[in-house]
Amino acid sequence: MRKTLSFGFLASLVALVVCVLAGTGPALAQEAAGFGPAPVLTAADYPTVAGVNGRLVIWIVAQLHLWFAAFVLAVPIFVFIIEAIGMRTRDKRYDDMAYEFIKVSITAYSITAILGGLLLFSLILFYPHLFGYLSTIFSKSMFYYALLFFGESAVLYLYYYGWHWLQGDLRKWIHLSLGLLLNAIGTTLMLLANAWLTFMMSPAGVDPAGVFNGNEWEAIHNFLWNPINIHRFVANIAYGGSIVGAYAAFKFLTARTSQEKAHYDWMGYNANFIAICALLPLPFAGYYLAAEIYAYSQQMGITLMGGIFAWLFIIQAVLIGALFLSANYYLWCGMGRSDGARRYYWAIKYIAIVLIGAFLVWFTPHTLVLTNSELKSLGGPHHSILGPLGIMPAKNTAVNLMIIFTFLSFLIYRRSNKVATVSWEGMGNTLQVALFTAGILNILFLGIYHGYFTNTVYKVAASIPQVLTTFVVIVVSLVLDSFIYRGARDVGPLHWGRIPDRAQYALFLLAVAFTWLMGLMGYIRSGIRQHWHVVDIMRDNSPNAFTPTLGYAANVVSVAAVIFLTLVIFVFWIAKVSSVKTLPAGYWKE
Amino acid sequence: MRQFLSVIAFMLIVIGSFSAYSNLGIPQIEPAPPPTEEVIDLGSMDMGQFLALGDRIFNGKGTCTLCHNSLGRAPMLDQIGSNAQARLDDARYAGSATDIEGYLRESLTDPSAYVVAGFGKAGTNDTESPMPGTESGSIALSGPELAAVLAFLQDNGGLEVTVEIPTDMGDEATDENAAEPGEPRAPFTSFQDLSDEFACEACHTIGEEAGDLGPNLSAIGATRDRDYIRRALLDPNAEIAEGFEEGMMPDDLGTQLYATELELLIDHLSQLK
Amino acid sequence: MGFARKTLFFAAAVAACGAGFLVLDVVMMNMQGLDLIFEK
Ligand code: HEC
Ligand code: HEC
Repeated sequence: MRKTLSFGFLASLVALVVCVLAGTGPALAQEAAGFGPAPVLTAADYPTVAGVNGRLVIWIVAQLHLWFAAFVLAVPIFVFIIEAIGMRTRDKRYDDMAYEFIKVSITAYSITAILGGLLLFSLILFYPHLFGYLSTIFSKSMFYYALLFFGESAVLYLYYYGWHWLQGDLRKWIHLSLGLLLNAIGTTLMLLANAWLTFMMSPAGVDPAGVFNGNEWEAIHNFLWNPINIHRFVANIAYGGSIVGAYAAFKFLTARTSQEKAHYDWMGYNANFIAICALLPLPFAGYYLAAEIYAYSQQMGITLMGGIFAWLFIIQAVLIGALFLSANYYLWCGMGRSDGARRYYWAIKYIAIVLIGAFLVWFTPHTLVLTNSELKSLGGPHHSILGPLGIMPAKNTAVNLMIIFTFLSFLIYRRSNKVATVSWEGMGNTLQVALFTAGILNILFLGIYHGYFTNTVYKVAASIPQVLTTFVVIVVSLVLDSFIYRGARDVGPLHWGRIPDRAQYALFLLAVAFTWLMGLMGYIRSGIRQHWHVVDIMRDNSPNAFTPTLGYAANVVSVAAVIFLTLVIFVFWIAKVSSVKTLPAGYWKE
Repeated sequence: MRQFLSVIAFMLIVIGSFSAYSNLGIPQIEPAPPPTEEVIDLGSMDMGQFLALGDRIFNGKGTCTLCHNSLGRAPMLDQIGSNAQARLDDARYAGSATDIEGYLRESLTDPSAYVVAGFGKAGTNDTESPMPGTESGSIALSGPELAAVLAFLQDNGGLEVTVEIPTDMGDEATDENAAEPGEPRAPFTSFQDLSDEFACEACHTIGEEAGDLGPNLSAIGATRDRDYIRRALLDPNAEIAEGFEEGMMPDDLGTQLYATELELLIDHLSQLK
Repeated sequence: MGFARKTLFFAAAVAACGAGFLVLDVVMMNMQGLDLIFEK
């Protein structure tokens, strides 16, 4: 009975989603029906509510919503993957870990929804005209968004509460399919929300006065939609991994038994692994986004890379450096789990030196391009210690080297517990070292020769073979490695849990730096619109239309981050409380 | 609990240090406030004030210098005097302008009508200009503002100013907000104020402030006499200080400075030893 | 393998990989309509 009910529910849900998706097609083709131009506002059109600063409220609430949304969208992605791995290997540990991940995200899910509602209310309260304008253009997608949200909740609850019920051959497959559906809906939700915000940056489907032509798909599929989609998708996974990593780290620190310690060490390792895998391609997704912004509007591109925002990228460099260093540090500490790691300890200091060197290059400010008044307050377009390291090719080179050496850390980690048995091991190793050497030389050649002795076209073009070189080094050496270590014997069993406590702090650092970095980049993404609600179409005439200084923005991000972490701790605590039982002696009558 | 507290403390310290770095580790630049339409009283304006208005818009609201600067993103406009005729004569020219004023106006209102070779949007083979139209969108100059910029461009490029001061504000401006007459500014009386106003220290090192686009002036009085300095200020391109580029140093100080201000600058600089 | 042979092998391997990467560079630059070596 229960079974049929659920299946009925599921079927109707799928039907609903299909209807909704099918309904979009014809609806999109509908003719424009009397849309007006974008409203022209005055300061009086922005209500003050209870004397609070509307922009600040929106800023913080939107950021909190985004953090939670990123987390709850990302977790099901890798839970799906881990569940699939578990099904393939029939190793129940994976299944348990996947379940624990989703359990963490379930309370976060309702907080996401609450924050989404709060954001909606705040928008309607503080920016009624903007919201009104956007909702005439995105009426359908907003409606479907709400419906999809129902679908998402239903599938998520089914997926989570049905976890232990849907076990065994066919049932497990059904459960995995639910996971896929959950991800499909979740990703669609994100894509819709992205469309609204990219419309504000690169409006489409409207004429210069803001009159909508009725084609909602055109407005959704605006110039910056896909670049943001890609960037967010990848970043969310890295972010989700880092938050789960922090969870595992905390559980590790407070674990009582060595069994528990081993379990959470393993979980932390996997979460970190996920975060790093997604972190590696992230700089490229970022470059792509920036390049597309530049292609969309040179003015916006210069605002992004020059002016006051140029300094923001220096803060960003510090944070990304912190991410890379802490991820590597965690790997190095983790080598202690193996008795065979001693063989590789010598290499660590060299990797550290390269990483820090690359970090410093990245840290060197860009050539700054400014408006005259900004020029004045800064004292010239070049940073005084700028030197030649400020140009893009130097930074590209640094990023590629950082990625290659992080990969090297990972390679060493993988090898630390293994002894190769193939006869050509020595030759294979030499080959691998040669591959790295040649790859690094090539990256340096491309960066230095094209960066300093050619023109802009070459500088930009050379970044492509650079990235591919990194890619080739990674792929080829993974393949080589798997041959060299085919049939390799283990040094001994891995000692999960044998890792110093301070390694866990690397995981905390990873999570906090990620959170803060996302907040900071949210500020710039929104900030490059300057005094426009919808760029060039709907002007922000509120008293808060000005661009705040970086210090101010950083403080807002910090406050938001503290609120976020408080909520996250609450979420983790709730997850723990739900399994605690108190037996009050003599309270209930016998 | 101890673990819990130390984790919390660790996170707060990390966040705090990010914030501290952003506030203390990098310069805090106040971004330019959103642009507003100039309040113009055309009736009482002479050509000097009109040109000064154009200059202000060019350097401020128009955001022209974002691209038209020495970094090679767009053609330098102080050379427009010699370039404009060549553009009109170019076989590629397909716009509708017949004279230089027309060309300049067209460059501002329909940038893609003619794209200077090498400056087109990537991949468009110089058929589409990256420059935004200045009448609408994010720059949105009013009719008189556009005219003032045109006059400024002519003057700045060493051309004869043929643009006339318009007599009415155009449709969008009403009489209410065109109230105050454009008063001439009061002269500055200290070197520092002057230097701030004309951004000398953005390019020059004078004492503590460091700019490296122009020669260091901290001890200029030791090697240069008053006449030299006067010439350097009034006609900077006559003699170029060794190792620096021509055309960077503003060459319109002569029309911008009051006589007392010019003397003040010369006095001050010649005493720096 | 003796030291000399080892070094030789390593050098040969670096040269081979380097040649491979160089081909990659040339192809990638050509695809963007450029030569590997910049001509003024
Ligand atoms: C986003 C960058 C950008 C901004 C902002 C910008 N321009 Fe341009 N401008 C260009 C580029 C690039 C060109 C060359 C391509 C072309 O001919 O359109 C150009 C060309 C011109 C030309 C023709 C130059 C010649 O040598 O023929 C004039 C005149 C001009 N701009 C004036 C202005 C003025 C005045 C403003 C401010 C109101 C301004 N521009 C703002 C990028 C910009
Ligand atoms: C946009 C950058 C810029 C600004 C702003 C600027 N200058 Fe210059 N200045 C230069 C450059 C470049 C040179 C050297 C080229 C030349 O001689 O024309 C120079 C040269 C000079 C010289 C001659 C120095 C020598 O040794 O020959 C003096 C004097 C001078 N500037 C004073 C000033 C003063 C006073 C101001 C402010 C009112 C000022 N400059 C604003 C860029 C600038």
